Amino acid sequence: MNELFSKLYKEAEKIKQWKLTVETELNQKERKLQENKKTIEAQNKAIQELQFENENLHLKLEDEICENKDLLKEAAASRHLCNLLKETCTRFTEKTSKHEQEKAETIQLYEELHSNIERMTAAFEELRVQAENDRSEMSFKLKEEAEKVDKFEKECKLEVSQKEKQISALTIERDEKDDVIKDIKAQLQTSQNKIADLMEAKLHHEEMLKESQVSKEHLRAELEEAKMSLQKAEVTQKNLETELQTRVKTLIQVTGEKEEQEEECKKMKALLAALTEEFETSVANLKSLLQEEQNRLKKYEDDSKLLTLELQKKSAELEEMTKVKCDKEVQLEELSETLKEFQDLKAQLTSTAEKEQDYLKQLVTLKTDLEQEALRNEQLTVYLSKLSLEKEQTAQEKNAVAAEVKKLQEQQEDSKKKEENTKQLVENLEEANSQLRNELESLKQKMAKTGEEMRSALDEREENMNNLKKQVENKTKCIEELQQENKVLPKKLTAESKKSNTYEGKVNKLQIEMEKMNKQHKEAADIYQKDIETRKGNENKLREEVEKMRLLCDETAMIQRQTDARCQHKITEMMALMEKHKGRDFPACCGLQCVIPC
Amino acid sequence: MAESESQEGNYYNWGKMVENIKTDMEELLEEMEKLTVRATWMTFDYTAIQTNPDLSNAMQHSEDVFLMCKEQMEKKWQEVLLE
Repeated sequence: MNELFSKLYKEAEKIKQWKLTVETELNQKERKLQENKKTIEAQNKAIQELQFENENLHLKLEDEICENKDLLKEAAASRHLCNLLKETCTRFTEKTSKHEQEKAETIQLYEELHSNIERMTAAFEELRVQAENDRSEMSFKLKEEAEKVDKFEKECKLEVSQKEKQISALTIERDEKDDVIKDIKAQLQTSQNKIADLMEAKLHHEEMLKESQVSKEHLRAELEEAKMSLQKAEVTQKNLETELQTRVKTLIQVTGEKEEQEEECKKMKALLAALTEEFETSVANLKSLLQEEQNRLKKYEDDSKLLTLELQKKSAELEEMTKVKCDKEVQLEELSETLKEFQDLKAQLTSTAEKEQDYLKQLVTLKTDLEQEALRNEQLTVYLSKLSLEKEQTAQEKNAVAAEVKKLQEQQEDSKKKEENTKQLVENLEEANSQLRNELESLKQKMAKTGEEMRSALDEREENMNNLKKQVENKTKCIEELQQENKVLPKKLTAESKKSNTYEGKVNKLQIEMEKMNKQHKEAADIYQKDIETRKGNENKLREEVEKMRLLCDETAMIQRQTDARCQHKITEMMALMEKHKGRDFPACCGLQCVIPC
Repeated sequence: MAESESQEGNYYNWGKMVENIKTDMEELLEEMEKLTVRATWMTFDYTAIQTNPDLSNAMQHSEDVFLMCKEQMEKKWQEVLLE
């Protein structure tokens, strides 16, 4: 029930509200009607006004139509102008397109030029750097070579001074050797004189020997006669026993004296043997001296080997020097100066060579002298051999004489035996026997004297022989020394000549290398100059091209300015036209006005 | 009436002409704008090209380097030998 009441109440309220709303609406509608009536009246009034205005507007429209006709004409004109503008715009677009193409081309050209210029700059910088590096390297190398050349010159000067010193020492030695040779020559002459004297003595002794032989023959004949006399006097010997005994005694005394003489002969033989021993000892000493000299020779040979080694080292050094020089470049003026010095040295070397040649000539003369001396020595040896042969002959004669003496002794013994057997000597033959015996004694004395003289002569000859041998040995030593020195000297001369030749060859090589290097430098300079000239030509060409491009740019700028001026003129004309259109027709040109400021 | 009709026809033609003119002017303006833009671009480019100091600097640099290289090359070997 409540719900129904509520619902009824709500509906009643709703109805009331509806009534109210309807009443309000009615009121509103009445008001609106009144307002509408008012508005209608106002609108009627407005319509009347509008009609009036319309009439006015009709009049205005007619005026405007006339103006529109004029405007049409003007529009046609403007259209013509617009067409012209279009044409001009098309032309301008074409020109702008052309200009853009040219601009692109100019940009490309500029880029190309820029790239070329950059390449050129890079190339020049590289050239400069290379030139600087090459020049620095050349300066360093030249300095090093100059230093090395200075060192080499110093070494050469030192070697030249040393060689000069050696040459001076060698000249001194040669002078000394000349003096020695002169002394030896004098000694040879004295020995020759002595040999001549000895020969004369030999001849005298030979004559004496012949005389002694003749005397011996005479004695033999006399002995035979004595034998005959003794045989004849055998009968009378028996009476003379006492006298024979006394004679025997005397004979014994004589035999004793003979034994004493024999002892003296033996002593002399012993002395000779001692002398021979002394000679042998001297020979041994000489042999030792020879060995010593051989040792000296070996030392000299070792020295020569050392010298050869030094020469080899020097040659190796020279080879090294040549290698070093071959690797390097050559100087001009300093080397010419060095060449001048070398020429001076050459002159000096030629002078030294001439001196050496003079020395060689002297050596040749010395050699001839030495050969002559050798020949003389050979002759002396021949004479010595002959003297030795004569000595042997005299010894043989001595032996023969000794044998004959022995034979005489035997004969005397036989005579003694015969006297003993016979014991009957003749008184008449006493004086003859005594005379014969006296003669025998004298002859024996003479024989002894001759023997002593012979011995003395032999001693003297032996002494002379020894002296000559010593002199010969000394001379041979000197000759050998001189020969060795002569052997060594030409080698030294040849070495020095080789060195000088090598130096000359090196100088020639250096000159050739100098010339080659000069030619190479000249060629390089020519090439560089040519490159520079070509690059100058290229630069000139590039400059010309740049100038051309500048001209083109100027022309384009001018054209651009002209086009700008023309555009500005046309723009101003257009602006004027537009302003004119603005002033005439506002509503018709409103669209244009809206367009223009945009 | 004929005048009105002719006026109306003229009015319509004029309207069309105006519209045509309007469109044509608009087009022209656009073209002019484009052309002005292009002209300004061209002026900018020309100025940029003319005022580009790269070429001149590069040319001067190349001239300087060339002169230096020439001096280096023109030095005689004797001077080097003297040095």
